[in-house]
Amino acid sequence: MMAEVQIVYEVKIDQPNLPEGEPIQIPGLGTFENGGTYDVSEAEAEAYRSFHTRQVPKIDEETQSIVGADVELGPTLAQAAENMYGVSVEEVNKTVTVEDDSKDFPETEPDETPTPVEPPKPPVFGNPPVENPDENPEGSDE
Amino acid sequence: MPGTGAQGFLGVAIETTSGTYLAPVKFVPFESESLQYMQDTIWRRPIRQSADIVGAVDGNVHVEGDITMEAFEDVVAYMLRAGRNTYTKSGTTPNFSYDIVGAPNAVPNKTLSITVVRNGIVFGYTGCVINSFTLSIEDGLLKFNPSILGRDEAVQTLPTATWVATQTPYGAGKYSIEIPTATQVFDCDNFEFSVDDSGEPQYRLKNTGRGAQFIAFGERTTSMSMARDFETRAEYDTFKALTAGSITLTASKGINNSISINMPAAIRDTYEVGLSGQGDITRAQINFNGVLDSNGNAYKITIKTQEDLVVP
Repeated sequence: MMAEVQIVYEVKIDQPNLPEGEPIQIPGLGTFENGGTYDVSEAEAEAYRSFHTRQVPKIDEETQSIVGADVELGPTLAQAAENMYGVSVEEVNKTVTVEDDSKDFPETEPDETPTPVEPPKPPVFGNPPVENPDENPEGSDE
Repeated sequence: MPGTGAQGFLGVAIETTSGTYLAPVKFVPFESESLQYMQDTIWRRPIRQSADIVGAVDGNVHVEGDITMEAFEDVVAYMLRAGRNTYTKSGTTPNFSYDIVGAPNAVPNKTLSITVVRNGIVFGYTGCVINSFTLSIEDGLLKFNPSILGRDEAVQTLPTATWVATQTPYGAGKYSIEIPTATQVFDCDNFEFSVDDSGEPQYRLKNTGRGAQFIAFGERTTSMSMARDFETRAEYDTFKALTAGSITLTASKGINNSISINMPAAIRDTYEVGLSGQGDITRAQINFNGVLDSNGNAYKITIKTQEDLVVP
């Protein structure tokens, strides 16, 4: 199976202090060989931002205390590359066709009579509730 | 939000102009750091019918602290570039060799910008030099502990780190220790080599900030220590006679990846041997001082790496 992938960045690795072919790791993106140029898909670019997600404190104006946190996506790859030694990123917009390996598993015939699944019981906190309090009212001697 | 050390990172760059920040070009895996901005604040206590501090006046500032890390040959080569040494590079891509010997100069030839990111906050330390360093083997792991002195600190743009994926530390089975040089021995552990250049920040009158004008070096002490199984009096007698000898430790991962430490004229400063318990192996704890050899060197470090040092 072939699939179309949207390419949004072209990443070039050029760290002159290291030999050609030296593996360079960019956290959140992957490992690349020095001197190489690589395509980055839209999904990979989004994964990069997710990897660099950070928590921003939510501060209560009155008490000036931290009451929670908001999650902020990390910088885009293009933004991050502005301060990344030996890595240049160019925004591109192209589509490439690649082999889709997501359907390598053999398809199986669906079971015609699905087994009913019992819904999970809600968790019980503290003492379990009395099912019918009228049957044994509190304070009864019987 | 509160953060942990896991989120932090540290990078270095060799400065073009000492004290002028450069963004990192080499990111350094490390175990801990303690770089601090040290202010010699003057706390005012004039006599004016008061027993309290009246105020604070700007004092001189400098940077100091230690970094603890596994010893990687490419990182050690970078850091020692800002030491008080003569630094000779040879080789061609992809394999380089760096020879480092002590020099008598008052200031280093190069200084470092060290960027530390703590919980997402950037600290840019400038004019940093290696005041002292140790290379030691702890539980089989070669470690490098540089002690830093720097001129100043300021916030900088958050860099994005990249990492050399193939960095591997030196572990057990990677060492050859020769006492004397060319005679390998197998009775030794607890190795430590250190160089201390007695650096001190130097302050001068100026209107361009409060940071130290430069870091000056003083007397240098090169030393080595180790423990050996005690079997004969031979080494003890050389200790008593103050006999100088060459010692070499080489940590090697391959023909082009190694760190070799040579003390060409090591004299035993102390030699301690005792009976510490019924079940204890009788061992000697030996401390050496490095003195000048006929070439004028108290130590020589040779680093083999694929790193082609970027020196502006």
